[in-house]
Amino acid sequence: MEGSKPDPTIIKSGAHWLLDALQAEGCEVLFGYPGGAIMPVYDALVDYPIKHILVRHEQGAALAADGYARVSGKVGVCMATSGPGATNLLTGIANAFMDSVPMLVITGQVSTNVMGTDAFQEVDIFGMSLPVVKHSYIVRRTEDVYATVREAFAIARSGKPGPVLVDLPKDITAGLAAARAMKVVEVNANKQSAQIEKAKALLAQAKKPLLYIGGGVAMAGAEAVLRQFIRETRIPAVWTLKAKGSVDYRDALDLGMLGMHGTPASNFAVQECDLLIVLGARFDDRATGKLSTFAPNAKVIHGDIDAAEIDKLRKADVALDERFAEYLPELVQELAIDEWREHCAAMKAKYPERYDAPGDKVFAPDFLRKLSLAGGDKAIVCSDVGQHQMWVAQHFQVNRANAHLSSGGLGTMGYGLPAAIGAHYADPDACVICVSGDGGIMMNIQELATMNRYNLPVKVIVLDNSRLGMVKQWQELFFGERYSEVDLSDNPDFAVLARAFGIPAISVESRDQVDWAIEQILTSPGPFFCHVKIDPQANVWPLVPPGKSNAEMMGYDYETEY
Amino acid sequence: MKQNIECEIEQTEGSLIRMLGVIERRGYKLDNLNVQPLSKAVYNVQFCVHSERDINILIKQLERLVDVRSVRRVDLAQVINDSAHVASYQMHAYQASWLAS
Repeated sequence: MEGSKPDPTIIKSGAHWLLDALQAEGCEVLFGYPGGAIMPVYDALVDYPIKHILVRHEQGAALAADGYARVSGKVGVCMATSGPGATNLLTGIANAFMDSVPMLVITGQVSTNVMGTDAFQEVDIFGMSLPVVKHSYIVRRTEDVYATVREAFAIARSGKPGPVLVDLPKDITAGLAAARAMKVVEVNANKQSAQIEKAKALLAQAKKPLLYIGGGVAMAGAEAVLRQFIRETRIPAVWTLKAKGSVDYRDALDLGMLGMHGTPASNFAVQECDLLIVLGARFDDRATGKLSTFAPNAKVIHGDIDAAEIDKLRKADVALDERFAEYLPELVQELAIDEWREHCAAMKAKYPERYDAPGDKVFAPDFLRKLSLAGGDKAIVCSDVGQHQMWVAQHFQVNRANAHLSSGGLGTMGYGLPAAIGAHYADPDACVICVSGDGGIMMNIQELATMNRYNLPVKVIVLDNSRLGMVKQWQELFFGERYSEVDLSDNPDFAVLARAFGIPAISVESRDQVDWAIEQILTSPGPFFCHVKIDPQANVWPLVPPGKSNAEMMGYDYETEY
Repeated sequence: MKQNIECEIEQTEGSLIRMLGVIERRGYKLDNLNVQPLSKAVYNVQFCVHSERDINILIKQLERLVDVRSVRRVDLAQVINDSAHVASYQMHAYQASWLAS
């Protein structure tokens, strides 16, 4: 970011400098909740056209800003007061950090003369957030507010994106000053020399090359380049939870999601491949299973914007730098891998998804498949965390990565609803669908009031099995069926609850109501809530047990299958 | 395995604690630490860590921090050699001064 020199004769309050900086960065919407130490900013906000969305809990603000950023590709902005307002943001900040989402977090702070005295609503949010921010500031001079906020934006979106926190003491936002000039911000990125020729040679030698796609591809804006590369080389591809939608799901060589709840074709292809081309992925444990057994026969080409990811968990034979997507066209070459392509396509065909579960209870995978087919390309799906999250990843088809929002790294229950609110503001024409569980929805249920307040056409679907389904599944499979604190049978009547918030709601209990329910969801003009009772015994399959190799999928053991 | 690292970091609020947090959180045990102001704006930080983990991973993690200007691994043998040179020089200077008095 090039430095600029504001007019030294212009005197404004720190609050006005903050909002000037937001405007200069193109911020049109921010999510927040007022309180004592941030009051000068809320006072100044009246003078600005920036749209402020009043959430009902600060965690909702941070997660909505996260959803906004993921869909828009811009920096999401959230704001809260000091003390509990700031600490309530922390989960959302950590969520953005783990999934590399660009976010500006503005916190009020007690005045500088009482900082460090345990003043009312004083916490060291700067210190508390250090491990989960890309960078952070305490602004101690009013003249620094404008430049600091501009720098924070630059840092949040550059290189590997992430959240940046700006802590603003009350006397600094209330004080008057001219703004100082901005510094040039340089962010360390992966500048190591790319070994293109070596990568080309490895690819030429490979008999079983495989693409392993992560969320970094979409964040680099490289989905189109990737799809062109796949069309030209016909190399089979597997992808992570965050990369869902980056590969065309209609392609026979899209083998699906890899890892703990990945497809057999995807996990088995990884076990067999002799060259793994890793793009924007980080060998996360949920993707790799037991790392020492992951892709045991493969050489690795690893491209990532973050140099710290190269060699972190798996040694790369060839590293590509932050421009990894730009190099893909250079890697295109004629490959004699027909046998491998046919084998991968045959594996995919051998293990089709099944939707013919017995009984008349709603089968969640089939419900989600039908909903995604009916929703079409305008749908954006935001999931919470748990069994339904994996069912969404497996069965709700999307054709672009920013149409699937999921808390991948942190696994934040309560993410879905606020993220959906943020997604709506990023793409108001989209059909935004929040898929939650009966556990997750209660973590941020208060944001139904936000939906109602702004009449947001977000569709909330709660898949209710009256328990913490994923924990129950693990207790069933790995803890000898000793069920501990997973029963949620005393849930409220969700449809009645939604109506109490002013939102039209329906309840669905049997399979023959599914088509009607989907029509109601997609044709209702404003906010809508659909409570779906599902089979409480249903589990997520396939499954790689924790600590096991991806070759040891329950029900699909590689050794016996091949 | 012990490793010696030398960094230059900006003297901004929290820069030192941010760096120390990364060292410990990433699984490296801090054995010693020496911080000196290099100028009004920059600290020189030298530290020794030990860990089973590859030191290059820590170096890359530190390089990601916005207020870290440079990170380099210090060869202990080189440090000892440099120290010996300094000690030798100081001894010669002392002897010369004593002979001249």
